[in-house]
Amino acid sequence: MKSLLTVLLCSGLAWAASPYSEQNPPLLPDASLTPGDVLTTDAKLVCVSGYAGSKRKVSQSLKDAVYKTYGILKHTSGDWEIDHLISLELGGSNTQSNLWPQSFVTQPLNAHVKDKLEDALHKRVCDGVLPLSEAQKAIALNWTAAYLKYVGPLPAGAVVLLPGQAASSTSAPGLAPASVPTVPGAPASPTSAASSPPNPDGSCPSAAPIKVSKSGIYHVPGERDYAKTHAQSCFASIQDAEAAGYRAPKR
Amino acid sequence: MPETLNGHPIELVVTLPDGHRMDPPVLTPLEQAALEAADTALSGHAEFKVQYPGATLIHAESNRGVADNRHGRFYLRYTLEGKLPLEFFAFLAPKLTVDLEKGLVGVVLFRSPGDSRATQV
Repeated sequence: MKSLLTVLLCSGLAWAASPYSEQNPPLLPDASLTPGDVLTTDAKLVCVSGYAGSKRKVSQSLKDAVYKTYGILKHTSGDWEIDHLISLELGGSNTQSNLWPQSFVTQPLNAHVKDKLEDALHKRVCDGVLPLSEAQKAIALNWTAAYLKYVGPLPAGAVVLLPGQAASSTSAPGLAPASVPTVPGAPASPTSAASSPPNPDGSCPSAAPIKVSKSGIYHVPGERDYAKTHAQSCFASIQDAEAAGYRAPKR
Repeated sequence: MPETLNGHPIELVVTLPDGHRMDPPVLTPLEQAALEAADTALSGHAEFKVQYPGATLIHAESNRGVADNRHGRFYLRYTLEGKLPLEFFAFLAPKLTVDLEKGLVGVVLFRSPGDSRATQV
């Protein structure tokens, strides 16, 4: 009983300490939970038509375990996926070390954007212009930096993300540091060039009262969640916020 | 000292319920028995031997955040000469199940009275 209590307490504390939730999705994986894992570094084996589709499926119970380790205890169906940090098409494995929850709906950085990077890296590898191991290292270390290097500027003026406070390590075991560029001092969440900076207390200036939360959702004055939203950026109008890729809350 | 499973030197990973890896990884008797039973079931499976001649176990994982009887509780990886490694998920089941297409292995374990070590039926 004592050991069970210890396990429950330790587990609860670990999950309670997670900085993530449905409202605050991880934009980068926590390297201490998801360092990445590969099946092969042989490009010949992954550059076969239909390769990724032939791979195993991750069970729902393993997906649930991954959500839980990131502190996401409930999530809206269809808004999330359990992503392979090193994608199957780049030789990634189906182990828990290679899985993390990624949102489809955060703006401007989300699972669709990472998918574009995965396709670009796979093409480069299979065209013979990029070693598979280098592609694996780059996407495991920081997928936003890899996007900038191998695809181009991130969408909607987003900047390269730095690993969050929750990550106890930025290097992936078994993977040497990749030479991908990072932007020193870059904020840990995406911003848009069209936005105004929030006030230090998280409120917005009166000229740009629309608040955008960490999850990429905008809130207008008078709305239920407006007062408690700590703005990451501010806009003068709903049109400006939507043009920058942010969305209204779902009701 | 390298980890071994059924005599094969393997890379072993134990993932704790909080998602972090146990360092160094240490299997419980039940986990050891389940992984060995899964490897035995696959190695002895007629179709597996025909489809994957020379398959060698190189990597095993125990995911403690997944219930014993759920797919994904255990993971095994086999190398194949010149081909992509094979992945299998194992779990405890009421009867032995091997699905090569889905990569699933259900193994049967029980505890005999007074014996804390799980044993394959």
